[in-house]
Amino acid sequence: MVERNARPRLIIIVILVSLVLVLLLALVYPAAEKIKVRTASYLKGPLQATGRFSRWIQVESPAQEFLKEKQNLETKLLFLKSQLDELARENEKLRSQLMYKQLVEGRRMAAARVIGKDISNWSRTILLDQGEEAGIRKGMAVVDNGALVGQVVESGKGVSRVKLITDPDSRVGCLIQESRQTGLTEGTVDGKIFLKYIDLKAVVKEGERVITSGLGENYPRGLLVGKVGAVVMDGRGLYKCAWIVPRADFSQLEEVLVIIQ
Amino acid sequence: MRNMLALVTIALTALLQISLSGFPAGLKPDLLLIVAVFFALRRGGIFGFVAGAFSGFLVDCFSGSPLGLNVFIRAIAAAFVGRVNKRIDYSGLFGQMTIVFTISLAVNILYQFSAGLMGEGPAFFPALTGIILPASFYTGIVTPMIFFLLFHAGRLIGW
Repeated sequence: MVERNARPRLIIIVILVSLVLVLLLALVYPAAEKIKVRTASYLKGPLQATGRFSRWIQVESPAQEFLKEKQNLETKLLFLKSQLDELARENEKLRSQLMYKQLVEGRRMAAARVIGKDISNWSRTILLDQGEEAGIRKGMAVVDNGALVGQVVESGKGVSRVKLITDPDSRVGCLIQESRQTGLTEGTVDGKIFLKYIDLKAVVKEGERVITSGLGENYPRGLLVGKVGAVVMDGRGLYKCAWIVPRADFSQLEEVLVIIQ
Repeated sequence: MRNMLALVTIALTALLQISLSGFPAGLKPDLLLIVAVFFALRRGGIFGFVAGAFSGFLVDCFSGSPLGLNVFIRAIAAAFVGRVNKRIDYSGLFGQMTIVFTISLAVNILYQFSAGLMGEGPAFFPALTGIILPASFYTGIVTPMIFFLLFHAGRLIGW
């Protein structure tokens, strides 16, 4: 009787110990990322089928298609305007023109379809149907209609994972285009973007465009992030902060572009 | 065979969970946790442990969390539910909602604590009000529907 009770306990203890080892290995061993991406690639087919099915049941009327096209064109226009303004400023200063030209002309993009969203409530990531074979590597920036969406955090055979800029662990060095103030964006638990570390003396107006500053080498300079919303003071009064209204619609991401650098 | 079917059900639930969207503040009910708790209640601690570990593995693979963290937390939570399943009355709607809400709360708090130790994730109080409580609430609310489907599928399949 004692043996019958002891056996399941022993099994549980053995499994628990092995789990702790797995957890510790996952923390120190880079292969954990490969395991994650490989598992995701096994479910790529069913995920694509689910996506096709949901698109099939969402049949769009011609009016809806026109509206969508109009929105796309407006977004592109805004992005181009932002790029033009930035170019003009860079010309005036006669120093960053070359860098910007390189950014635009040297840009090679890989188009990818979003096949899955984050399964948990703790992080905000998306799964793309393109991976290493398309040249996608960890650290590359991802845009949608000219607006920054996030950064590739895992890349494997046929799939890659992108951490959105709304993720609570996401940080992006940004520049407020008109007032030329730099700051660092952070995602919040409710999926918003908060810009921190703006100079106390800076005059930042609502509606100013926010672009990537290019500092820190994580994102290329000049990618549109959004517009300044409400400007608030840091709790300790050390710097100013601002809520950012993102340009990208993170709930409607279908196809994105990965900037291959 | 019925073990395999249960694991396939968990994998299919993961597909459904990935496709879910449209809930307030981007939060969604934790269907994988509901299914793991269901199997733990029906089949006891050992299978609960396996179901919890497998669902946790899928969560780790399809989210930004480190591999192993959810495996560990969910396996322990489901094993605990399976261990005390004889003492839990989950025949009524309220009972089902309460059990899953409590387990979801515990799993999310453990996750926040463990992720915090690794220097990841948001601070406790914003996480409590922004993720832990609302997500556990949504999970608890949809539990009777998922349990109902699993009960009836179980009659056909036989788990």
